[in-house]
Amino acid sequence: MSPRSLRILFVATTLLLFAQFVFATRVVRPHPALLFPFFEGAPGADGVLQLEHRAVAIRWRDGSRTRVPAEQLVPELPDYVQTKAMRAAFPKRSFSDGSVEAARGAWLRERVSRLGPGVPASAEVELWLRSYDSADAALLSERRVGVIGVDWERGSDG
Amino acid sequence: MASAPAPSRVASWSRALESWIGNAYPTSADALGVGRVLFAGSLLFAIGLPDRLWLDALPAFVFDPRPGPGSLFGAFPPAWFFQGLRWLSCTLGLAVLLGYRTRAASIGLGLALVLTYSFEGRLASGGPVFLMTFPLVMSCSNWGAALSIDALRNPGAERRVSVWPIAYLSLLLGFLMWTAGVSKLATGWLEPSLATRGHLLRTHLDYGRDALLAPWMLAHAPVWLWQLADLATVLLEVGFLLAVPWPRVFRLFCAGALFFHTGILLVMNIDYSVHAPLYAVFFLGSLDSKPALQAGVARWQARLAVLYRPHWRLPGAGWGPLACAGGLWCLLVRPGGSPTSLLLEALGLPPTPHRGLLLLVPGCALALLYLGGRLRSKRAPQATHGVNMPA
Repeated sequence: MSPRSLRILFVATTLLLFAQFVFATRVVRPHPALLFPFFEGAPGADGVLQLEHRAVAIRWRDGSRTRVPAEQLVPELPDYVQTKAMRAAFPKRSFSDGSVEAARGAWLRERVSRLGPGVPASAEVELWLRSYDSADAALLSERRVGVIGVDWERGSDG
Repeated sequence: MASAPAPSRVASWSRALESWIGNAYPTSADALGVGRVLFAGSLLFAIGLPDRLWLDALPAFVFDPRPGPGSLFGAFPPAWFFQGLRWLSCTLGLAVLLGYRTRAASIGLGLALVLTYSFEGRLASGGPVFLMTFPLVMSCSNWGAALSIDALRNPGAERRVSVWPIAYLSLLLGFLMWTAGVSKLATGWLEPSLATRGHLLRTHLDYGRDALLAPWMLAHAPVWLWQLADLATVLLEVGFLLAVPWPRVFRLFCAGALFFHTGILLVMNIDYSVHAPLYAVFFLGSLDSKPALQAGVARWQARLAVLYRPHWRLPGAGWGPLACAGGLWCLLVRPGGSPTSLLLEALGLPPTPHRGLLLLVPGCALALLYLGGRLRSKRAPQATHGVNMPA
């Protein structure tokens, strides 16, 4: 490449990189993008760190019950993806209407079935809000803020 | 007599830019060959080829790609797609390692990596973007001119290399670091908020990361240490871009970044060790001053020639190297991590974070040697390759 072409390439790249950064921060972040992870903000800076947790309460056909962290439904995923995957599968908004649509329910059943030797009769996905003390990571409080479920014996949601 | 008109400021900057592009990272075909082998060898044997077969476990309703190649698809591609990409990446990675049709293989490898990381969407933070762009940019350098099968196939070919891709990579890396630093700067990392500690606490509680120094740091590290970590992180990341015009300062930042990545791995259990072999490209020029480089490259080139064109006259001797390459391919392409990860598992050590330490600790040792050399050269000044930027 000629020196002039290289000069243009370098100047254009610099401008495009900054334009991409503005686009990613103001509009939408492309993927993959020429950006490093941001790690924005300071979680728990006010002394309390609030985190969402999802748990799955399962009732088996033999009457026994199990409650597991939702991440256990996707053990083949890397640890840093499990929590995000369950947030994506059961986003906060899905807890507001209380029902589970057919595709979500079928996937939940397939995943729950892998957990035990028995056959699942019903499952509830619970959304918990937990508060931790930033100083020592002690659990300060936890409350269930949402629940959605499927009853496969009765064939109903809710 | 009329004096010549003074060059304009723009022309002066243009000349300085051209000079920087062409002279910032001078190096030879031999050193670039070593850099290529280091990159491909690290990717295949230590870092490991990316494995996205796990996306197959996710339902279609989770598919929510960001703008990019992944958004051209309507759902997660099936497992065979990712398996095929893995096979392709492995083949191209081996081609880059051995220097076989290096330019095409480097471009293909870069594109295969980009495609592999395109489907995670909001599930991941973006993938190792510097690793993806690295072979794409270096394909323009003719880094297959030495220590390669290409050199055997075209013995009379010119060994001219381009060094501008290294300068281009320094610009990219400086900018990538800056994006992380400026985002932290804008969201309160320099306030007394203990941001590093907050992120560690969140990853500890969210993902259960509690290896190496994480529990000790959460329990015992004093406030001033966390504040120092916040400040050092922002200064290093923002400063990277400012250091780009000065190769010597930029190398110091790269050396500092190795210790920074090691600290992140030890404390936050987040593995950025993938960058360690990539930073080596900015130090290749210092290899040229080593008398052993040329002899070493010639020796390995001769060994490669024996493998590529067997001299022994046994029936089927030509199939030996091919069988070796096939066996290596099968070892590298199997899911479950790189050979280094498999070895660590066999020793009872979890690959994360120990694989990262295997890459970073030697990197830090080399960085210390470099810094020591810099200090010694300060006492005995030498000719510099530095480029003067206009004021």
